[in-house]
Amino acid sequence: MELFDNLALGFSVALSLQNIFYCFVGALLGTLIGVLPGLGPVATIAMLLPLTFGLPPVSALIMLAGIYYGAQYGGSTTAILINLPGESSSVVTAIDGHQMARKGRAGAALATAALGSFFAGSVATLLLALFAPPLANLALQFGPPEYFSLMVLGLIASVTLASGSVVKAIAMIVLGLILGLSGQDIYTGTPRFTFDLPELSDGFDFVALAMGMFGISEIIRNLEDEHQRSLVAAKVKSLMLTKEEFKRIIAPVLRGTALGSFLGILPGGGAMLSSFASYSIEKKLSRHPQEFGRGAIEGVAGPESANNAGAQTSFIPMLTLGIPSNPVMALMIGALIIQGITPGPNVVTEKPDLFWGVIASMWVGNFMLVLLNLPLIGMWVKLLTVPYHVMFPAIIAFCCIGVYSVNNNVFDVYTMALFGLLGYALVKLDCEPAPLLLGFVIGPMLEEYLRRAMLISRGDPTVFVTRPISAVLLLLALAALVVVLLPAVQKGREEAFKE
Amino acid sequence: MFRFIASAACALSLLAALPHPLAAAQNYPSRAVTVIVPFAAGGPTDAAGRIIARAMQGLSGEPFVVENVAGAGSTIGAAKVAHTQPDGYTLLLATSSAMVVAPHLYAKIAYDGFRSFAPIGLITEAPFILLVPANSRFDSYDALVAYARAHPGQLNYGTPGLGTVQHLGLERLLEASGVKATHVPYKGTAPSLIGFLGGEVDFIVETPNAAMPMIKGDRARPLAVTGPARLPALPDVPTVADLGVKGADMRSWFALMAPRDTPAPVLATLRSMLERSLADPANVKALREAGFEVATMDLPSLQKMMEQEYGQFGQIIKAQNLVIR
Amino acid sequence: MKTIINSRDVLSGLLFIALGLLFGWQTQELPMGTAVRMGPGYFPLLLSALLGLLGLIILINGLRFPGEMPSGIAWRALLIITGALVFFGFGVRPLGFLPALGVSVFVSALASRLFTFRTALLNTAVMVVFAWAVFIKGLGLPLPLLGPWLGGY
Repeated sequence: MELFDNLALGFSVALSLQNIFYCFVGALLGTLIGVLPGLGPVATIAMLLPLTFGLPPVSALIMLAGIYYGAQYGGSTTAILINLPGESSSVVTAIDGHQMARKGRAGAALATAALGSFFAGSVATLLLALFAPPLANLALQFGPPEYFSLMVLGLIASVTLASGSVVKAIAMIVLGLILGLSGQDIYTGTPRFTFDLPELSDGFDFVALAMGMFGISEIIRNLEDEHQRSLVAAKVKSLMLTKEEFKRIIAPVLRGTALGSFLGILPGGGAMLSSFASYSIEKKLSRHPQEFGRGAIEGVAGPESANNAGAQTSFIPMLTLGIPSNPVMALMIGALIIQGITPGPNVVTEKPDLFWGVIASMWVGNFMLVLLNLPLIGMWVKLLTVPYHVMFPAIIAFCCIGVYSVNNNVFDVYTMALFGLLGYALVKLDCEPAPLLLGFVIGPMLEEYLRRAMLISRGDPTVFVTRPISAVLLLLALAALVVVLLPAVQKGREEAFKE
Repeated sequence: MFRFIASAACALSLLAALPHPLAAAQNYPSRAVTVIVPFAAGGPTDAAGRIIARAMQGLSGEPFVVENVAGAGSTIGAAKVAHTQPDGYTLLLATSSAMVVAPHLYAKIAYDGFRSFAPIGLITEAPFILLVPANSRFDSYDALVAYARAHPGQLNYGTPGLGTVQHLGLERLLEASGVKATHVPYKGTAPSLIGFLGGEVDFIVETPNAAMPMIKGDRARPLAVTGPARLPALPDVPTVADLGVKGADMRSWFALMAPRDTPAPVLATLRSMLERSLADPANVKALREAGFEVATMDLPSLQKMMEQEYGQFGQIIKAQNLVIR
Repeated sequence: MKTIINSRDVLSGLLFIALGLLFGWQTQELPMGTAVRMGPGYFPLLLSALLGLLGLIILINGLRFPGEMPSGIAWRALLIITGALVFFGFGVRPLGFLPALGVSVFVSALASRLFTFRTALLNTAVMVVFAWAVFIKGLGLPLPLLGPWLGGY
């Protein structure tokens, strides 16, 4: 079969001793830098990218694949251990992963992330190898109306990220949406919510916002009451998954993989939705939804698999159309270009060894990551036993470095300080930060797609229901709205009856 | 031209008055030089900046360090360089948009466009290619214009954003052709290409490095080239001048710049280093692989090109009322 | 502290209302457009109004049900950590990367009640050396070690 010939070609390229070595070094460095708090995957990859420039193309790509997966996994590790997400997808991992860590199950959370990611990555790589061109064409069926409807669905689903009051969660989403609109309006160039600061003409920086809302406010909160001497109150139990935990993660991993694989192919922001769409689904399907937000292992397994599957299939638009679908992909394209490969429809036919080499190296990168990280888990968990008053100044230092180095602009450091204060105030008032961050990411896209749809349809709002994919998505959104609001309405009535 | 001589003369007189900087200028560079790239790390422009920095480092023996200062349509990085010590230790990888568009586009801007800088030299220049989707009903620019004339404002064109060279250049081309179409801005090049391939817009313009893969992959059809000559890779595609549209050339370029009052000896050193870097086939190859064809230009021509584009973009921005306040 | 009203809800309601008003006020000069042809101000105003409304609902709920006052606010940590961050932002250019980082680490260590001079100093030294080794030497980030105020450039 042709596929096997192709994959054999790919692996023959990827599996030379030299390339395995580069892959290992890439995964190791990616993990080690990515795990530093404050350095999200984008910053990590940008910092490590120059290391690959001097290598021959195939080795460079393979090392890059290692760095990419390493940085992603390193980011999840930080999210789980110290509740500090470096990109939108690990916001979700932080919710339950960090609670697991506090209960002494950090090892299990990390192992779940590693195994789930590996499984999802392998499946998605296979999908990529089998169906890349038709999937890319499917992705192009998504126009502005479809993306708008998808964002609406995502927005409604993001209410489930909070475990407390639904009204407060909605208010936090709306606040996030507003903050996300900061910057120049793309249709008129009008500055909005920029307070006359040129630094805000591209809006608030996500990393600065997330580091402030999560990292800084969490540090201040931990300093309220310093009786506990380290982050983890409970004794660290076994590092590996128990049999029961293993059974619990199987279905979420499978669902997450399917969801992430599909959303990842959409270049207009699908991959970003995958992790928390998976979280919402798991929370709604779970037999013990009350555990979510308090350390449910499904809340780590599903989103991490979805995220990694999405990360994998988001290579599809890049490899087949040559178009990056997110900042990380833009970095990867830059690296490919420097190696003399212009990603695009003809790479498959013109340079099959490279195309299949890249695909094989993705799988090797994923494999290397599991190999590398399962033994490292013990070390990460040990880190948690460092007394907190020694650890937190170091976290602050890394946050400063990470936030500053992205744009080399001190404004982002001040942004982080400001959102640290706001985040602390909101946490003290029982408002959870995760929905705000998702609103922040979705907000600009929601408006952008809505207005573009209206611009192209010349102001005809029926496009959202006459286009079938969009109509289906809106129906799903309506169903999700009912599912999300029903418990709240019931609870509200119960409370009213109590009066 | 006058401005250049004036600023050079000004710099020289300054040097005559102060012997110390001259001594400093003579052993330039004596420490690390920072090259500000006004884009996030990892993109093609960043890659080009790094190739140039590496080459100049090899020639000078001192480190040339790339610093990415992204934001506000590359004006934050440009403003930063405009306001540093003009000692040759902070340089800018300047794009046409920061040099000749931004001063008109932004009512509040912290520097004076290309006039705040002394050019070291052009690095690359490329025309745009006007593209329609491969399944488009238009097989020539004339057909497109004829349809647009009969249906004013009904066709959509996509650009990477409001006030980008693509947007302003296309407006100029449409105006010169006497037709109107609806502008659909996107948030950057990649989303605009996705929108184009998804059939959301009827036509776009893109540089050859972005356009060629789509043409070769049979997803886009080239209708015209906006440069002075046909492209070797697309000998059958006419230039807009071939099509009878005059004065609507547009191009994308970037150059290495220093702050305006940089001492002339330092500029001379930098110019000769850049010239030698761009003459080295290894660097030419590296830049080509990053998607850029090396283009050099003598300084008076570069100055003239910037003056000219500055005037043209100013006109369009004023006529379309695009100023951002 | 039990009260008849839920102060956390009341306060967060007031906070959301205030933010809604602030952002709503900021949209004043933006062209609204219509639902069909939205201007740049349409979406922001809609959202600001929604935020204010949600704030109002939270406020009213807070007045109806009992709850607890937020307690144990770590004023000291709040002040010191914000100060350390602002110092880093302020100092990274004039003082240079390593001095700014060192001072920020040391100052933020003061936020803990378990602060000891020795640990903090050791922590600062370790972080400065680590940052130098990893970010400057290892990854070659373009950060000035010493700023102009300390004799660097």
